[in-house]
Amino acid sequence: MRTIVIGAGPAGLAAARSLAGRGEEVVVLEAQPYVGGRTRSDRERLLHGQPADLGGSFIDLGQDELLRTCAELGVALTPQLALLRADPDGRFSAASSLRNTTVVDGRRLPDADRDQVADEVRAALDACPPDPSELVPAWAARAGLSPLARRLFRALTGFNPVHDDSQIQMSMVEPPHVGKVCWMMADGTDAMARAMSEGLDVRLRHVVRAVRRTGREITVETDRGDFPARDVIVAVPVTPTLRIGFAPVLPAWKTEALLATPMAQGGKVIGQYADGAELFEKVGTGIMSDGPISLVWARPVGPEDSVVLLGLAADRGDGFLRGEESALAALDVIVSAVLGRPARRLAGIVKDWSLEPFAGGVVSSLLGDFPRLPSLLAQSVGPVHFAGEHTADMWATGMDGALRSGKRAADQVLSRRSTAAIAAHAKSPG
Amino acid sequence: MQNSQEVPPPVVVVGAGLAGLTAAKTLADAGIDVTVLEARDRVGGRTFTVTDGFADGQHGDLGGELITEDYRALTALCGDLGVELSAPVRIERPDLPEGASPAAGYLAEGRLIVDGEILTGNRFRQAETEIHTALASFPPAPHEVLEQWTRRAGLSDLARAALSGFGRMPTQYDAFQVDSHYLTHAHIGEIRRVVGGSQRLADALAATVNVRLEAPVRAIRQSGGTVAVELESGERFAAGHVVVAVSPFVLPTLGFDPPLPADLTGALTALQRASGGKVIAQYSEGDSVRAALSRAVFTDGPVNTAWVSNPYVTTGPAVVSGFVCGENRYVLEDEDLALAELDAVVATAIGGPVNRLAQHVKNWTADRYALGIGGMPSFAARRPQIAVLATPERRVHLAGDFTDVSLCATMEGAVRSGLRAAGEVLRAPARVSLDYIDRKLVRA
Repeated sequence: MRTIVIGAGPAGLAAARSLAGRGEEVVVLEAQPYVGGRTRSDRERLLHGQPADLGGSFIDLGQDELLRTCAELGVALTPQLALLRADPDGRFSAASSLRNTTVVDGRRLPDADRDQVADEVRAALDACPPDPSELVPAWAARAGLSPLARRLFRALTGFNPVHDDSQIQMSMVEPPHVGKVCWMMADGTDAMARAMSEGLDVRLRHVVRAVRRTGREITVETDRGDFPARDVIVAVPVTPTLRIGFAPVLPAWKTEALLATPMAQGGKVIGQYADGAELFEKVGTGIMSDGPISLVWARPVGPEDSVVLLGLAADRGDGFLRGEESALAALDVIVSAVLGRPARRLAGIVKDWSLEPFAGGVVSSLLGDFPRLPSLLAQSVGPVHFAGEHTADMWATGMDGALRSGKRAADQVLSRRSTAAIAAHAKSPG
Repeated sequence: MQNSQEVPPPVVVVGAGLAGLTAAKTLADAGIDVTVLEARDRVGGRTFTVTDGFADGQHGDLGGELITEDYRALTALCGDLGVELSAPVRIERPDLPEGASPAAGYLAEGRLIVDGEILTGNRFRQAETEIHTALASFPPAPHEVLEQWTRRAGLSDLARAALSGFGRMPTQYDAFQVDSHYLTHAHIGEIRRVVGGSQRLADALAATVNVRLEAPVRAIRQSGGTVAVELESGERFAAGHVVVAVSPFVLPTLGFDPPLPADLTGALTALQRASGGKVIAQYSEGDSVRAALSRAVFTDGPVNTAWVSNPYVTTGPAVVSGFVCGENRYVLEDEDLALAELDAVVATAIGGPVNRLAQHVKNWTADRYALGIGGMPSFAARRPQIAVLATPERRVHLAGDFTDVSLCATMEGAVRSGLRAAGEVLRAPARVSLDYIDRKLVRA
């Protein structure tokens, strides 16, 4: 009995692998000409075939589904890195990110000033404990941070979760749940999706228009023909899910849960630079900036002393990510400030996920009604199941959550099978 | 020592948009000492009329401009203040049979632009028939978003394109966000405008109250029966009650002590944002522009809707408002691009070249005191959500277009919310002090 999986990102591929591994017939329909969804890497535009991770990058300690998948598929990781530094008392707090090298107004902030800002934020976190649901700018205002500390603190949401701070709650940054111990995939993030898709029946360039149920049969309608199925796993992000027609209509609770899960808007500015070893050293755990690029970090030094630096920028409606040259120039300013002389950029890419029609944004923002929302988003509607980073029970909005959600959706398909089998068995005479 | 005979404590209103100004005027009329604190250098918020550059003393509205028959509170307010409203214009086709849907009302030949061309003749009838048949055969569920419905109903690309403009018009949401309710049940009917621009209403309201401009608020702190409103400048205002009437996206970013309840912040952050804004221009081809665009033109392009915003001016040039939203909001980041898109729509609508005399582009998403055009909970979820959004937090009362259950995200919703919040304040009993209780109420 066939299952159609819509979307060949990590969630859809995890679902399809899980089902295929248990002898089920699975077809994956992917709108784009590549697998990986928002974990796509570009290998064409940087020198020496270096991968540019356009979307998801980090694996954190504790993301065991992701780590185990890498182990299983032989996906190698970069050496361990950290994106934040502990506070003087050894604890990690929302102030820890502010202990990175910091660039303000295009100039490197002296380390002593930077530490003073971080200490101020840490003291405010202790003196004026944030409510988990309180928005980042609201806490910064209530806590009475100084103008510079407030500006830098609010910039944190530009990389976690790559969004304007006006929708991001304090629980996202305090305490920090990512960035203490992490890795990247050595051959680019989509190495995982590529390895996962091997042996699967993945149909690229198939845009799904509607999912129609009649009796026990489902038809998945694409722009290139119809696919019959017994079960369907919708493993696309929030926005593309809202663009698929469902007959019968999805129940109100499902549509409302999707509408209450806005997607973070923004993207990545990626530059490959000369003087790689020196830059790698100077970038250290990362560069914080007051924007529009809020965090820059380095991949390991590549061939001919080059290094790929990745910057994250939230979309603030000002067109920053739409101007490729100006966005790369903004990255140059930050990199040069840290290098202490004009940096030499060899190649660059700007990726705006808000403009990507089959993504709709960077990641889902589950903070509207967290943590009830992911469980609602994960519920099946009869034989229609839902996977994706927004539906995960743990590490939601991350690659690990995507993989977990795919496995869960596969189990939901199989449990329908066994329930049906039990029913058939009960009915059979004798 | 306080008792009910004393002067009521002052009230601070945060935000001088229509909601805040209506609340302030209502309170001031009742004899309350009110101060309105406004972050911008002007009143009006997301009603914003511009005149500079326009010939013949004309104007353009960069924010709210439509007044429908349902706008009873706003109409009454305009009457009280002597703000003149224009004669009505009908957006929906005039020959609409009883019981027909709003979609049927917008499907008028010559007013839909698809792929840069006006839909006429057989192409128009094909799209019209297909949409009518689909609405009858596959009635949209109240909560179903437009995009899902068009796919479920199996509409052709032509019919989807024909729907694209008027589907986005009522809410300025993309088709994957807007409830199909707006196609089937939410008639707009006749519309009026404030003669001279919506700003006239804001200005008339502001003339009745004490407004402090360029006074952005940092935090609102409640304790011991009073509220302190702290400005970015450090200055503090003490009040018995505060009405906060700011954009729904700015509200949760203000500092609140104690913090806003989690369900309120959750409801606000989950609110779908209508992103984008307006591109407006004055054209010298006044008569032909009025003939073609007074009742709106809808397109499948970045400018979803364009109409003459001053159709009551019957001679001279004409001013056209164009709406850009959602995924097309990027067009507003490049002024020349936005204007080229509007010019193309107007030229197509009038069937000839246009000469632009003046222009303005407003990207509300990039406006730090708006962060978007507006937002409303989905139709099906609206009532429980508004209950959260409109509930006062002790002495802090929330107003704004997004807090009105029936006319959410409209100028009328803003006015009604201001009246509601003022009522909350006025009904609140004066604080009874412990001393007063001991002296007057406790039997020894």
